[in-house]
Amino acid sequence: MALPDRGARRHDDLKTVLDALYGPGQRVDDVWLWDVRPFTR
Amino acid sequence: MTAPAPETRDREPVPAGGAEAAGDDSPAPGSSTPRPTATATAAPGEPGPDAASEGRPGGGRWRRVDALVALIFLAGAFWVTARGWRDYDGRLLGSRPNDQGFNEWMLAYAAHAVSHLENPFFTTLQNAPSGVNLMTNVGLQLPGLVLTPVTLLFGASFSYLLFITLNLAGTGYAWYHVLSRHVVDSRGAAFVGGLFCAFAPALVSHSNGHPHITAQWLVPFIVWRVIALSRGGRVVRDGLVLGGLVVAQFFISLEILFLTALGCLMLVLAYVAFRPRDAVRRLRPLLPGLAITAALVSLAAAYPLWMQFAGPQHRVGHPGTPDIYALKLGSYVKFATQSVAGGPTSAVGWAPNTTEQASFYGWPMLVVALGALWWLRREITARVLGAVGLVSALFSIGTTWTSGTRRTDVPAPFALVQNLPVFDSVVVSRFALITTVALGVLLAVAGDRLAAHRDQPSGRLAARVGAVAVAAALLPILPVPLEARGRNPVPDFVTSGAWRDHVAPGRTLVPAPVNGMTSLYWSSAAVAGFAVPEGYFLAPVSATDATGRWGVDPQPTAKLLTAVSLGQRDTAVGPA
Repeated sequence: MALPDRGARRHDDLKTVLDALYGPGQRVDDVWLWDVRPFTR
Repeated sequence: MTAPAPETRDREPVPAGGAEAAGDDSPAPGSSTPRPTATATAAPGEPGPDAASEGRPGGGRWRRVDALVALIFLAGAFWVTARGWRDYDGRLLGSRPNDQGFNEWMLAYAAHAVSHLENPFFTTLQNAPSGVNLMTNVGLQLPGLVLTPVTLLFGASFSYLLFITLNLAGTGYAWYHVLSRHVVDSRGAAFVGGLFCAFAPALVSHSNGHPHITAQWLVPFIVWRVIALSRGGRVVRDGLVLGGLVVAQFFISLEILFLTALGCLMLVLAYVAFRPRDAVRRLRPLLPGLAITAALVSLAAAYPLWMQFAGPQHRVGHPGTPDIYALKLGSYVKFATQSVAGGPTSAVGWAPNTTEQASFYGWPMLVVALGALWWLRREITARVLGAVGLVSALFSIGTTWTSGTRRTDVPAPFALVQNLPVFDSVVVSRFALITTVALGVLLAVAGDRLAAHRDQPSGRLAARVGAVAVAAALLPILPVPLEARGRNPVPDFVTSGAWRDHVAPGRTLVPAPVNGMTSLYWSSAAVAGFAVPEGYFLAPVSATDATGRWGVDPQPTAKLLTAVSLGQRDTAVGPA
């Protein structure tokens, strides 16, 4: 899962939700990344 | 002699010393003298007999004329697409950004498939994990293959713009080439025919995101080879040549191939109606030739055809009723959004959208066309073209007749065929693409007949009047440049290739919030290097219902993120 650092509406809200779902995101270049493989079937 | 449709300048293959002239030798309408006919024996596709004809300039001059025509069509194509070229990575050309996004992705995926030796007809790199049946969408395998080096070097957005530009120029020149070599004597008339076929509102409006529709540069050659096949001679060779062209068009756009086949069928049926005895004679070489063509196409297209009609994620029919995408009767005299006499509101209510404006000839052109048909009414060519153009125009109206911008309850011709296989998947307005070609060829033939008589006192005036009339009809429908708009930037993480360190081969990168077009733009920028969810495509309703629909329903997490991004819910997340 990748959340762009710019452009996304309500970016902070989305990051809060994604952090809650998948744990703290990893900042790489201009995106926040979450490894969601452990959560997929 | 005459071909089964357009009477042509070429000659039958005849023994040495034979000199049967080509073309309809009946007096041209309005004249007591026979229409001039060609006297050389060039085979179709080879340089025409022009240079050898009496009183004509040498081949060098004709080559310069051909080059000039090519340059004019190329300049016209860049004129139409100019706003996209100003910043191809930062702008989307035309009024249908989603269509452009999808087709850019198709070119990106083709380059990926070629460089990774993957299936060009189905992939899970879009709409992961279910995937997309690419045959049941737009195809584009051959252009994607040819453009692979360009896509890998300059990106899919550059390839797309190059493709959509060259389609206009290539289609115009292809029609000019075939018309000038095989149908008319006058290069000027052939130029007008090519100009109309490529730069009338049909292809210009479809340049708003539909390169699979505007890629018609093989169509004139296919039509011509069908006609050549009916002349007999080398049936096996001619059948294989036609088969090669059909296979190529199959991998460019199955939809245009279907419309081309339908146009050829209308052409043959019209010829049968007007000249039944000659038609039967011509069917003898035509049918075995077509059987050879069909055999070759069956071999080459068996797997993609299976994919199209029975493969994973195949669909049946087009979403919505046919009339959603139909034209109105009045659309034939209106002006298109992207034409000189048109504007943002000129087609509103008369067409499904800004892309599907395949008619919109304007009333001056319709008057000229009707005048040409009346003037040439004794010529089989004009009759056949008139019949093909009329029938396809009637099909484009949809299942019911229209009154103004409103639809009546009275059944129209398309209602008869709407449930037939393949017809149920056709975007109805696109039947007018056939009308456009019929009209373009009619203009070329009429111009040729005028030019043939300009040396006579009465013909000179007629030629001038005709030229002024055609110019007056063409000017209002000449295209204006397509609009362009900025596109959302793709993160550096994707464009720089940094994603390779974080997304394992075959895994999915999910843009947040999940959006089909964002998925495609990111994937295209990475030349389809990773899988993405959703996308922009046609698919079945479900695993058990193949009825066609747009896209898929979002997954629960995608819905959640969309709701958060729209401020429709708070950020509290509880256990599932």
